[in-house]
Amino acid sequence: MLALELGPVKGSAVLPTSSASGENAFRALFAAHYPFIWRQMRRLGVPESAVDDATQEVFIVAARRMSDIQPGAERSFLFGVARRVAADARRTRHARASAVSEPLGADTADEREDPEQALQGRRSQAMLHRVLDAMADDTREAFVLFELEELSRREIAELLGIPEGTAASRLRRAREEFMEIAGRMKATASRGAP
Amino acid sequence: MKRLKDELPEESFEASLLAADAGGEPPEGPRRRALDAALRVVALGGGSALVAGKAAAAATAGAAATGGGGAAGATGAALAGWKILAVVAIVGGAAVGGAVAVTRTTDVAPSESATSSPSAPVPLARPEPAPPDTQSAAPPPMLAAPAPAPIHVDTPKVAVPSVPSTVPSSAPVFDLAGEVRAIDRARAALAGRDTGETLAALDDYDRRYPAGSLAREAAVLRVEALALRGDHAEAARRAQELLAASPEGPYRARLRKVIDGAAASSP
Repeated sequence: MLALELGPVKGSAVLPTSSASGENAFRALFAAHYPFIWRQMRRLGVPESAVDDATQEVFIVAARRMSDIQPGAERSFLFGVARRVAADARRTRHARASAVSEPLGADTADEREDPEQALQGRRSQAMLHRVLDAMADDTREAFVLFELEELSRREIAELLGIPEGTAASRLRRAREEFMEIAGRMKATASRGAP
Repeated sequence: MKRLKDELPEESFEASLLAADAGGEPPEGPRRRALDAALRVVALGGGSALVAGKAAAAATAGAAATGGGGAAGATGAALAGWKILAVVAIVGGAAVGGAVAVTRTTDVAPSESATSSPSAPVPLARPEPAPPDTQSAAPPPMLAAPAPAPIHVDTPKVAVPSVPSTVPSSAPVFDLAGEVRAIDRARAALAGRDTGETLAALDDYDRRYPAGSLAREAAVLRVEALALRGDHAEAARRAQELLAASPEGPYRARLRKVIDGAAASSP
């Protein structure tokens, strides 16, 4: 009943590859795209403490679905997974944070710095992330990829699976949104924040 | 289209925000850990279904696309009418023999598929409210392994850290690596025919990941452990349940085998 000595289905037509080549393929995929995915995680709203794990999660999903990833669409696939992982992370974080309501610019409130002083290192990074967090999901993605990752419109269209024209208009909206939210934050910060 | 940072006055608040973006390179430690964890999944079978040439092409095309973004069309075209060969081998195959090959054909055009793949039903590593069988029509690559794999899975070298996470238990959502380890433990035990340890590992898994993304794999392993232990009735009952929930699932042949085995062993 139990075919204990049955080996792997080597030699079978349906298993034309060794696990070594699967591993090599995955290593190449990982090396080519890990930094990119890692960079987007924080920008897409994953808390800093969870960025490494979230990135790992993306690649574990990729490892499980290697056979579904089409050549040429690797980055698009990975980014597609990444945005879901990031969305979940945002939800989790918001659920946790909502108990302690954190107004925009709150982390500058303690020291009542003026905006220019506040624009230093991690603090301005935190402000950037707050602006990004306040943006809509679709515009945030486009904005991050164009303004921060500096991809071309065409690359973004490919990555998001949208026509280039849609990418362009989304980018325009994204900029408006960014400027508006950043403007509000600037006003808040210069008032010394509540 | 120019970048916003090039259009804004350099000293503006908004420009400073953009300049604050860290970008940069990921830290090496977590990166290696992620690679190790993912490679274990590959070794478990996630990647073994890849056609070798396609895999290599995929990887290099990916690298090329990172630079120019122009490689997608060319390589994608070669893939029209591609077929996914998914091989379902045996989780910890030493315990219960048998393998089944699932062939799925996808007839999407390259351009279309390139855009649809990210939104395809990726089994997110996260328990959504009702996870169990939304995927059954298109089974996700299964956690399957060629029979000899469990021992060889690079355990000494890879040694996926037992403290994998910078995030404490407050964020179990990111513990797919932990799930993999737990399943791995069960598989290894089953390969060693230690059904007690297998079931203990699976209990542990169920307790820690009640809605885990590898729950199906855990359930199949449990069925096999029960059968191996001689608990044929219970094994068959559970196998029937799993089959009913996912009649076309990737583990159907293995589950049928257990059911058949139970029938053969009962008076």
